[in-house]
Amino acid sequence: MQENDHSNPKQLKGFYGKVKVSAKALDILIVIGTVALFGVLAFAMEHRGYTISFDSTGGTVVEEQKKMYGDHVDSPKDPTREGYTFECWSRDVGGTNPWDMENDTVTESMTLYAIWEQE
Amino acid sequence: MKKLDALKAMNPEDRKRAIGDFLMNNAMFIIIAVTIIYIWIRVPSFLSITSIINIINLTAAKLPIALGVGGCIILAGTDISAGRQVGLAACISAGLQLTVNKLFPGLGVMPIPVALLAVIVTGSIIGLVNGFCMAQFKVHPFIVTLSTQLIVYGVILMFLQLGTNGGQTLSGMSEGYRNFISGTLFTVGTAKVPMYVLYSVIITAIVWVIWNKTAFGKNMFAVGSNEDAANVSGVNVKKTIILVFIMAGILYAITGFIDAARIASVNATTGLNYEADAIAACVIGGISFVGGIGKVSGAIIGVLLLQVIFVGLNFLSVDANLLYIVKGLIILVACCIDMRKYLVRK
Amino acid sequence: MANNEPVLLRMEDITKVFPGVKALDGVTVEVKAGTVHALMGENGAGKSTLMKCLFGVYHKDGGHIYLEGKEVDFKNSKNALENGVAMVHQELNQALSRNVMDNMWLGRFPKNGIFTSEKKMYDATMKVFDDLGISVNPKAIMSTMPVSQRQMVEIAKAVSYDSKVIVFDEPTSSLTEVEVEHLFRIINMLRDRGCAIIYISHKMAEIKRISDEITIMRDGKWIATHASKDLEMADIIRLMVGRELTNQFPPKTNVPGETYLEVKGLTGLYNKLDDVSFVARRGEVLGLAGLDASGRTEVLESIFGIRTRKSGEIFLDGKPCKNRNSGESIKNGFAMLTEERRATGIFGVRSILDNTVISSLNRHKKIGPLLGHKTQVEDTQKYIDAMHTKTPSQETQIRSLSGGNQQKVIIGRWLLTDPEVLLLDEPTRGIDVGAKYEIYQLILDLANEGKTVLMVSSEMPELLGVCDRILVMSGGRLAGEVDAKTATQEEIMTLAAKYA
Repeated sequence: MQENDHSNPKQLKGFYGKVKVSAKALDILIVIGTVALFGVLAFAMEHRGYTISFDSTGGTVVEEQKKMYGDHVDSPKDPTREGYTFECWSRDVGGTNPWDMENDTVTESMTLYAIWEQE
Repeated sequence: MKKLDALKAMNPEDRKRAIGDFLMNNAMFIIIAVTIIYIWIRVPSFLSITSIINIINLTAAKLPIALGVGGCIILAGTDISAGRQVGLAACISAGLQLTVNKLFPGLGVMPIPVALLAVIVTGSIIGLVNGFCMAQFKVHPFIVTLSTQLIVYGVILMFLQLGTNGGQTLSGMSEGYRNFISGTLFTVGTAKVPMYVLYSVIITAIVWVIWNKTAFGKNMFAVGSNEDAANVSGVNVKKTIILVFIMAGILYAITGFIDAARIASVNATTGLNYEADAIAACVIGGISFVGGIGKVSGAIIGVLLLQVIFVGLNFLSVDANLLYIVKGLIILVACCIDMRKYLVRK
Repeated sequence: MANNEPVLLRMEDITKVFPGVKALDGVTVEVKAGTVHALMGENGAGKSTLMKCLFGVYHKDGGHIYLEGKEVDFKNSKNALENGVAMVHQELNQALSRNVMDNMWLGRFPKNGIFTSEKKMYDATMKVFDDLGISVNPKAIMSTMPVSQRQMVEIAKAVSYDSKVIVFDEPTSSLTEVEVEHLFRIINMLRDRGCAIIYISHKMAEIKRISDEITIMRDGKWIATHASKDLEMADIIRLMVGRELTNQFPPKTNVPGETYLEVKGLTGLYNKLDDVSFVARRGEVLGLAGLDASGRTEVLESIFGIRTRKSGEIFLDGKPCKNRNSGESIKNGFAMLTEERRATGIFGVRSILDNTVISSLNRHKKIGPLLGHKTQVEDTQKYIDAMHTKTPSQETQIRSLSGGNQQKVIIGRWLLTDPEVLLLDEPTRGIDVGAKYEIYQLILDLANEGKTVLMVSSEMPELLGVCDRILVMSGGRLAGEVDAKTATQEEIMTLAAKYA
């Protein structure tokens, strides 16, 4: 509902609003974007690998591991903690999502938390 | 081969331009094709049956949210609250169906229909709020859905603090719920196709019918194409906008309902940035930001292609953080291609 | 009116092919210095395409263009402008939020060192304006100015580039009679200075007045070029259409019946409509005349419910009618064809089918809310046939059709709602002679069926030829009412100026 002069041709183009851009500028952007995309992908290829960190939640330090997709996690030496026995490694702090060293394979970088049982 | 003949018939300058146009308009598909081939060469198991089934499953899981956002884009808007809405729905679905419920101590496992109804109602309300602000107060879609996104996140955080849960991850959902979602539909070799693929197919079919075979669908495309003309032509523009966002809200809710069981673990980060994937998929699939244009098949293709790429990169053990950069660049290039198709004068 | 002036612009053997259609087929046109050369033809004849080839918007597939004897090939409008070839568009392409000066000097701002000098810009602008006798404030923002003034700025811009060839594309479609006179004065001035003017228009009377030579095109081919004085209107029409069109208007056989629509005290809330009251009868064509911005469109829009009323009542057959929004108005039997189809009429990227059925979707509900496809196709085809709309298929995007054909689709859309009262705002704007006749026939057929038609038009001959009565609006008020059979253009003009 225009309240003013209606010989104003509508120049809004949907969500883009009043954007006016030339094909040439877009072509350049598309090429730059594509090159950047391949650049990032090439960089990503050089730095492949997922990091498995171990958070002992108060116990002794456990080294992190570098793994690829589909690998198993090398079962590290159980950490120790004063007054607790080590139970297992879990994907979450609460211990509801335990990691099965035998069967589970790596699909992404993650931190495994040590689950302790009080003595 | 009519196009090839036409190509040969042109003078050199026009031919260069035509080829250039073709390359630019299809740049996205070219990039994706090259990437897929490269990944397949490096890691042949990428295109094994198991892997392909996995890609199909992921596509099915991410399709409803893309269709929801798609409707908003067709309306010449956007919806960046999509991801958080999925997260909230996942929280609610999980929260009502835990075997050991810390959120509502003592609450047994609620029947599946109850949980589903709860999330659909929630999604509808959020969609109603989004749509109403846009339709009645003419607030820009980006602003409205940005606000909604933040508010819903706040609600998620508060929800996870309920009872004795204290913000922890929700997991340990009832077996009935998990089977309903992830139970086997059928197997191909050793690869399993879960039930939610069926639900996704049904939902996609319903959305297709709504978009193409109902007056509401036609109104949606009309309003997106030219809101003023729609108003003159007797379309109830406000009602259409509100209904589109309610429909989107319901689709996000269903996505969350499926995801909670599919991932089997829900926390405050569930759903974060899901809308980026959904929007990228839509733009790649030809659902243009200019409004009034788009097909369900486009959304399907967009989601599928993106999943192929991201699963592929996963196979290559590419750092997940870099994926954000990749997604951002894809959205940028896809939007440029989209603008080139519709904004530039020939 | 010299016939032996040098040829300034020669477009030779121009050919342009699009997939499936040969838009231009070896067209040759020569424009001499110091002449106004009219380019005429039905919609789709190729006039716009020819100009787009001249300005580099399209790449021509064959032929040559010579400016002052030298071959040229412009890359775009800017390139053309820098070489002295300018275009004043039908749908103006300006930066509306900027002021006049910015628009004139965009890209070549007069500078003081590295800074743009506003004073130099102002002076330079005033110089051009004074030269042409234009009274426009260089500091005014474009969007606040009426179309006619914005057009003057376009012309001034062309002159400031020392343009030798100036193309006018339907320049008077948004102008009132007074503004047209002003425009013609300037065109004559430019001609006398030796410019070559190309004038594209559908308005016969104007063409005869202003042009020295006329070129007629049909179906992408050059048909004829003659001196203007050697051609009568009937000759022009015959050459354009390829057949005899004896009358400009169809025979009027409708007989208005009893009062059907009554409007009392229509006053606008955000516009200047003030206490407008009138009646319209069944089977009547009621015209609305008046100057630009006199409130004619506002009257129609207020009746249809898409413009807010402060007060006023509408009665249909004696019964009050709220018409609070377009949906309600359509249910009450109203239809509204808006003035600007691009802005408020067409759904550009949607198909002909979608554009046609959008207002009558309820007709197609088969099972519950689901729409049947076959009936939609039938309805669309019915009106494609009835109105002779030229389109490759029902699935074509409406934005690729010519203006006249787009208008036909929209008219089809409204007829499918089975209206009793049709509100038409400039229904034949930008439409060629053949199609105009068809639309007049349609309007009279509707009147014969007993419908009520309200028609806004800026073309007096049209109002006098098609309408039964004519209401004259002026400054938002109803200045008077005349009988179309006996009224004169002067009478209408006088009334139009009453409250302006």
